[in-house]
Amino acid sequence: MPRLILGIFLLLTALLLAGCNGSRETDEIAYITAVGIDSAPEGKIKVSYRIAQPAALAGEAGKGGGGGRTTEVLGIVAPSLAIARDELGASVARVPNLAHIKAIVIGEDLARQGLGDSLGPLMRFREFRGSMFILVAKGTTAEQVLRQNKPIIEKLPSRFVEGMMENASVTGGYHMQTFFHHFYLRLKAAGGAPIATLIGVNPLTEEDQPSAGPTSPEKSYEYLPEKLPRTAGNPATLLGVAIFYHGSMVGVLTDEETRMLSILVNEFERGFITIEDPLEPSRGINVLMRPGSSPRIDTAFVDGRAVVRIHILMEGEVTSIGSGINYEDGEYRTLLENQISQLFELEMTQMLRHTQEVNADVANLSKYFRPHFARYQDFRSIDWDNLYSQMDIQVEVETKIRRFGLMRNTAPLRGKE
Amino acid sequence: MSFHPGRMGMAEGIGLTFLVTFPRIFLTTPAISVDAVKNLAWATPLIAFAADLAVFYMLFYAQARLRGDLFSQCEQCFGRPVAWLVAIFYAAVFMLDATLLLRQFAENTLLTALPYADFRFVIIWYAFFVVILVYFGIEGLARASYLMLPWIIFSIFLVLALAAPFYDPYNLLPWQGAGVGEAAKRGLLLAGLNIGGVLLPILGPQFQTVKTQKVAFVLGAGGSTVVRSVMVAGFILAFGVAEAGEKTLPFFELSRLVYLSRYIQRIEATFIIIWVIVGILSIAINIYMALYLIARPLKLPSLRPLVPVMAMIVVNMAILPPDVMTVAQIDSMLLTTLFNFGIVVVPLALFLAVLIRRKRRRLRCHA
Repeated sequence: MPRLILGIFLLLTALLLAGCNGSRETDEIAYITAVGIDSAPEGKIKVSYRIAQPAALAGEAGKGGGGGRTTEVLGIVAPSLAIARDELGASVARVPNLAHIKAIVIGEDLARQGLGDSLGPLMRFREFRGSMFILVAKGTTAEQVLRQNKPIIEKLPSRFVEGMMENASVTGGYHMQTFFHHFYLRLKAAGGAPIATLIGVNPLTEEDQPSAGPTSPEKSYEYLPEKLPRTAGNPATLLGVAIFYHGSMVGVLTDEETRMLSILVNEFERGFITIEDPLEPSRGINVLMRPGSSPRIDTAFVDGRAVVRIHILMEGEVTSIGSGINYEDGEYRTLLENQISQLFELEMTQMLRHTQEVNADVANLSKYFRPHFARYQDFRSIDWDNLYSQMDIQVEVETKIRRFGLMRNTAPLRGKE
Repeated sequence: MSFHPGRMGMAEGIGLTFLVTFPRIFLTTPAISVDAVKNLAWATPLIAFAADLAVFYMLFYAQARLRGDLFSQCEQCFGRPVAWLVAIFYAAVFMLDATLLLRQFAENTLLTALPYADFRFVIIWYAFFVVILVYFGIEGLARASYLMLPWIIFSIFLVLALAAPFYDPYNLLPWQGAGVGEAAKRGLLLAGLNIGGVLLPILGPQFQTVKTQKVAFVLGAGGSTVVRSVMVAGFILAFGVAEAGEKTLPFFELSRLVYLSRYIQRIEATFIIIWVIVGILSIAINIYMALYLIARPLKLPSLRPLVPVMAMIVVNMAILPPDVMTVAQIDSMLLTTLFNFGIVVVPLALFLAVLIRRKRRRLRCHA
């Protein structure tokens, strides 16, 4: 008899273990998919929430497909993120849930003031996680970025950000997948500076405002998100990264600089370059580049100075030769390979010099010095920030053209034989 | 249910030893180790196990030359009062272990899975399932442990593999961390982590031979040690020393970090189940052992009437500390003092007693 009672009791218990702990339906919860944080007067912050509307996504029963806006943006000025979360209850008749946040967007003003105090405590609260993406709103506020993020293809703005981040390494490396985890890790660890992808609101006016001219022999200009000449589509644009020193934003890397950084940290998978034709510089050659191996980084201390030697092997596939010169041929091929190597060396050295000027070790080169130390406290005692600015960094790039697309050689155009 | 636990083999011994030495990897202990030993923290479980192995081999040496279980062996060597003291001491150790685990697992369930649930509700549910498991006896517990073992190990390695994109091998450098000496010191202080291994000699004859116990200890506690060491290395690889040292629940954080794509992420809920299973089984084994050590000297015919009483005492003790930080401090303090005492002194005393007895016997023979 007791066993029978126990068995029935356990069966009833199993019914109660279905997982509905909060006793709340989906339409009673405000699922927040992105948070924007801007500075506000009197030391306060303006927190913007993008709240998903599951009903609009699902559509009414039997109709299939959603109708109306799938998300709403609300802004609240508060002394802290925690108070803002509770004050959200003043205008939303649902219980806020932050566990589904995909991205935290920080306004540039606040990022320049410093993020250590605002972001550090986030890791303590269970609804935030390290796998959220962190972005900096370039040239605008985080609230504007959330409001202007109007994807054309994706249903949800959060899906847009997630898709952009997931594809960063295969779409040219012009922005990077910046997890909150890595940002926080760099704030705490000895050496290494935090970075966050830049997101801007593009006016979509096609106005060309490059941040820098092309680095010869490259053909393309350098851009930041709000200045990329483009039309139509989603005004929200991800390009470049913000660089930080001790939690404060101290500068930005343009799209080309960001690509160099992603190659250096081995996050670059493939991307095109358009390079001047070595024999006919007015013409361009398109090459699909990808890393041939992980970068080899050797470190040493020479006369008290930190020396870093970086060796990068890039592989290329030529996809277009404007001049019609037969670069498939051995000698010409070497000429082209040297041209590309020279370009990458130059761009990478410039990018590193730029970060050295602001003491921001964005590629975390200091970690390659760890094998030189036996104990943690010895490594930690080094002033890596200042050491980074003094580092002697030598970059060597080797390029191998592996393929020439679907053409084995280039026959001359009629009249140009 | 008599205090005689029945007959068990190597598989049961491995299951019990693994489960009873494993649960603290899901708590704050690894983070405290990383904070103290830095990059070399992964070695501390191995050092602790090496020390325990030496002590246990002395104990097994003594056991091979004495009759019965640990209680009767203590009776043979030191007399009945000392044997009673030993039984009461180990009963207290298992009871304290159960208490500390119950409070910490209940708190962590609140922290991770059921944030708005009432604490008393959670702790009573834990205790309820523990009572049911203990009610079915040690054989049931042992077999449940052994059956769960592959799932537990598979799940842990799955989390470790899924978190691999966040690993940076340079986080394990400088390889000496806070120093080899510091790692050895911390490792020896953590020897008490494997105190649960004494259940093998306590239940002694139920595992047939001393060799069975030896293998069960090496594979059970040794296997648990290796998995724990790999997990600590995983935490350090993912979080680095500075961040890993500040976590309350490193394994939970590691599972929360998993992000392979938009389709494979936010998987921690799946793994909360694993550590709840480990926690409940481990608490149940501890409570059973505490009851066994009370029933054994008293020769009680049955343990079952004592199960709810013991569970109530453990629940009441578990809710005494004012907050979870105090519990973690008590846990750390007991691990490095009382549990270490328990794992070293009795086995060593038995070993010395057997050596002295053999020497005396040899002298008598010569005379």
